Parts: sequence; structure tokens; C-alpha cells
Amino acid sequence: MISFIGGRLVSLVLTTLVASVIVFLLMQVLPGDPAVLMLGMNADADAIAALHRQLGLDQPIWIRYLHWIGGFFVGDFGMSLTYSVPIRELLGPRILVTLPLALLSMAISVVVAIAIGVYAAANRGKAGDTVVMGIAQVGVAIPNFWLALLFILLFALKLAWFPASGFAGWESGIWNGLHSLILPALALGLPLAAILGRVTRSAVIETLGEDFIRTARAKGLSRSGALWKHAVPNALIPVVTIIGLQFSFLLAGTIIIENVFNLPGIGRLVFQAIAQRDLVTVQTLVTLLAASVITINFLVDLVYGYLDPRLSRGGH
Amino acid sequence: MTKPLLHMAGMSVELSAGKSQVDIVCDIDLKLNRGERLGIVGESGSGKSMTALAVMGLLPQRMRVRGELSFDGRNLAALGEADYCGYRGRRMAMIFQEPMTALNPVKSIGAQIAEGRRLHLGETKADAEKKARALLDRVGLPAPRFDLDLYPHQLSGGQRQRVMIAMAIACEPDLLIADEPTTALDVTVQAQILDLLDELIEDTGTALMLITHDLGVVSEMTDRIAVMYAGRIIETGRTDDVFARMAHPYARGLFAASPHGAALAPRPTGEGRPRLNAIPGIVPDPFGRPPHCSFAERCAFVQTDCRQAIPALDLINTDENVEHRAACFHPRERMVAL
Repeated sequence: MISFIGGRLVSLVLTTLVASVIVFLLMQVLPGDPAVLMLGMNADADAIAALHRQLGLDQPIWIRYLHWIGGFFVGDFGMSLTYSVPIRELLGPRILVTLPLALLSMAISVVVAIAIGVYAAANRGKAGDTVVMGIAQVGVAIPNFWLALLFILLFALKLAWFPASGFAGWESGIWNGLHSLILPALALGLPLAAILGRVTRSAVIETLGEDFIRTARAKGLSRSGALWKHAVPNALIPVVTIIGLQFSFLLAGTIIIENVFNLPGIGRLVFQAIAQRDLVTVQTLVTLLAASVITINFLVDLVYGYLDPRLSRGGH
Repeated sequence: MTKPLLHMAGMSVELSAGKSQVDIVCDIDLKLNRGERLGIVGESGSGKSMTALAVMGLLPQRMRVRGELSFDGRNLAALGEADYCGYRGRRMAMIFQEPMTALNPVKSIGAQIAEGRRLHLGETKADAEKKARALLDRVGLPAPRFDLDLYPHQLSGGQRQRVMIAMAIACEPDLLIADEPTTALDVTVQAQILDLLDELIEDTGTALMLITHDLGVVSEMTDRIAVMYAGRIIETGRTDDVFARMAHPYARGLFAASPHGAALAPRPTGEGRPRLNAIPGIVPDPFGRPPHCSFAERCAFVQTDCRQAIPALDLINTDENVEHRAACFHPRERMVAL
């Protein structure tokens, strides 16, 4: 188990490094000189050269990379070009919006998906299965921003259960903060749940046909006992894989959803930084997002080892 | 006379395929007393596994039981699902053919053995695990080499089948059904598993229904035998009697086709090693069974009346004390002929 985790950790760091190189190089080939952007088109050459020195842009590319990545791993991300404050200060409060939003969406997606997937599999071919999977099929086809707009119309404007946009802030109380995240999390999580639910259904159906389910029934377990105690734990293995893959869709979704709901999160910061050509911020945020996707996949691997003893425990 | 533990009378297993129905298993009359060992023999597709699954109430969807099927005096067909769950694993248990796939790969063997006792006897986790430990020792998987927290993939086929056996006997059932328990195993391991089963049954007094195509296994393990062909019992009796004078040409053919039978057969001098005598033709599938003796097409001794009706499972006793039955119109003639 130790070597299993160790191996995964090494690959986690290496993958993050590769991602950072790609992001850094992409930023270099983008047109536009940050110094010119900051000083304006009419700035004189001396001022631009001075700013280049100040920003370290006169250094060779690999020195600049090492400088940036060295700071990245100790949490010193550099200065935002537009706001002229350390990027770290921009991140702090925004992570407190995006992280809870992502976790809440993930939780909604997983709980709903397993509920509908297992239900549909247990009632395979019956009316319940057809209805639930029909709704899920529609859910797969609905883009999250459109669902977000529908939710705002219904739950915020018509029923006034939730705020239509904005974030109340955690300082106004946990519930107030959570309250303004529920609609965005639903809009983000439900389309993912529709896909994951279909995966869960087919995984459970496949497991229900296994010999060990008959063994469990021969032991005296009821149909639902065999389903929950024997089929579901086995079916979770492919489901967890998809959860890991969906996390990157989820992060991409936060960029859209935070803009629809006007939430002050990482997604919105990325959007603004791109619009304002704040290249250092973009480069840092994109690498951070990549690192979080890689970390989630690392966690998925760990969960894998827990769910499937064949991976974590060798044979005799 | 005490009532039998398991009683089938005119029992059929019906499969509905679309609008048509067909009997996979037809008109079975069988009795199994407490502590008795019954062998059910036949080729694949003869209906022997379906007979076992019918007893366990685990028939695939679209199959159902007709006729009488009772266990310890209770009609199993009328048993509610919840009551049936209380029987399975507790009063009747089953060992399956494929030890490689019949165990749950993500649960420890200890948890899988203890599960039945926790479910049926309401034992605590600790008590059930203590019992599971004892059961593993009993089936020849001693500590510390074979811990409760091992997983199936860490065991060989034979070891897994021992775990299956431990699971099956965990609640000391009255009836143990073993469906080809050694077919998937190496020959050397087969003998060990059979010895283990033999010993456990001897100790516990459990009734055994052993399903196999291996006549050698049946002759060593059972008191009585039922040979099945195309969904029907075609010969049955005490194992010794049946082996002493097999009456049905199919049973004789099955015996001649098995290495066991060929080895015992007298070897004509001048010839090399004995040849296995394969039965020509194939088992008719359930949808194409003829309205007469279903073995007629493959039988070397077929006569006109064989193609007119289905023979009943009649007594062919040679003396009063033997109950030996065969479903054949001309059993004795053939015995003379052979």
C-alpha cells in the first residue's frame, strides 16, 4: 500500500510539472507584451525596458520559468499585472467560494447519480427505469448555463427560495453563504449526475449478473441486500473513475456558472484575468486548476485501492 | 417412516420465452431423506443445475416451478420471498461450480463467511468472525497462513472452493447442494475437495445433493443416484444397484463414455489402450424434444415403440428389496444384449 501511494505521489508531482511547462510556454507564445499592456501603447522604449527589468522579463525563458515554478511550489505566485497585488491575496477569499461550490456540486452529482443509477438498475426494463433514465437522457443534453438560467427563473425569481445572484459571504453566517451556493451547485451538479447516473446503472446491471451475486442470494440475502452489500461496492469501481474524470468538467463549469450567478470565485477570476490579459494570473490559475484535477485523480487512485483490494493487495 | 427432507413430485421447471412455454425440467419425482446423499448425473443441458436452482428458489427470471416441491414438509413454491431468504443459507445451502467467480472480489473471505451467521443467527461481528475462523480451520485453511482478511484473488481455485464450502456449512444447513463442486479444479485438488466434503457430511449429518457429470464421483460419494437426460430422470435407484446393473442405454453410454467406466471395462486382449465410447449425437434442446423417448434418436437399441410414447420411470426390480427404476421400454432386453 505504501509503495502504491508513493508511486502515485511521484506521478502527481511530475504530471503537475509537465502541466506547468505547457501552460508557461502557451503564455509565452501568446501575442502581446505585458509591459506594453501595462504602460499603454504610447510608452517610450526606456520605460518599457525598465519595466521589463522590474518584471524580470529581460531574463532568459528558462530562468523565468524556474523563478515562477519555484515560487509556485512555495505559494509565492507573483504579482497580478492588473491589480498589482500578490496573486495569493486574490486567491484566498475566492477559493473559499469555489471550493465549497465544487464540493457541493460533486456531492449532489454523486448522491443523485448513485440513487438514480442503482434504482434504475434494480428495476431494469420496468417503468421506473425508463422514466428515470429518460429524464437523465434529457439531463445529459442540457448545458449547465441554460439549466442555471431556468433555475434562476423558477427558484429565485418566481419562488424566491434562493438569491438570483451574488454571494452572501461566509462572514454573514455559514447558512447564508451556503444558501447562495445551492442553486449554482445544482446547476453544475445535476447535468453531471445525469451522465454519472447512466454509468452507475450500467455498472450495477453488469455486476448484478456476476456469479457472486447468486452466491450472496444462496446465502440468504434478499434481493436488495445482495444489491447494496455485494453489487454496489463492486459497481463503484468504474463509477469512481468517471467521478475523477468529471472533476475537470466541473472546474470548467465553475468558470461559466460563477459568471452566470456572479459569484466571486476562482472561475470568475480566471475569466477576468483572461479578459484583462493578466498573463501571470492566468498562468498561475490555470496551473493551479490543472494541479487540482491531478490531485483529484490521485485521490481517485487511492479510493480505487480501497475499493478494489486486487489493486492494493498483491496475491500470495 | 419419517417424512423426507426434500420431496419433489411431478415437479417441472417451466421457461417462458415470448409467448411460448417449454419445460426445461419435466416431471421430476425425487425424495431426499435427512442425512442421505443423492447424486444427480447428466450431461450439460440435462436440467440438473436447474433442478438444484429450483430447490434454492434461485431460478433465472422467466422460469417457474410447477408441481410439488417441498422441504421439510413445507411447500417451497408457496413460500414468500422473505421466508425463502430465511431458508437459503440457513436450512439449505449451495456450493457452486466456479470458485473463481462465485466469491465477491472486494470483500474479505472472513466477512463473506461470517455474513450468513450474522444474517441468520443474528451473531455479532466478533462472534461470527470467531466462528468463521473455526470454519476456515475446519475446511483446511489454517491460521496464520489463511487470515480472515485475505481476499479471494489471494487464493488458488482449490482454496477458494474451500472458502465456498466454509460459507455453505456456516449455519449448519439440513441440505447441502453441490453443483459440480470440483469440475473447475485440477484433478489432484478435486480429490482433496471431495474428501473434505465427504468428511464434513459424515460429521454433520447434512443431506447432500451432488450434481455432477462424473460417474466416478457419484459412485464414491452418494447413496442414491438419479440420471437425468433432456430434463427427465431416466434411471434412479441406490447407487450400488444402479452401478451393478445399469438399465437405461443412456446411463450405460454415459458410463462407457467416462474414463472411470472405460478403465473398469474388460479390455479385449490384443488391443491397445481402451477407447472412450462417445455417445453419438447431441442432447435435444428443450424446444426440440420429441413427443417420445428423447434418447431414441441416439439409442443403438431403438425399436418402433420407442418412437411412440414417453416411457414412464418404472420399477425394474429384480428382487423385492431393491428399488431401481428406469424410463425405458426395453431395459432388460438391452441388458442381455450388452
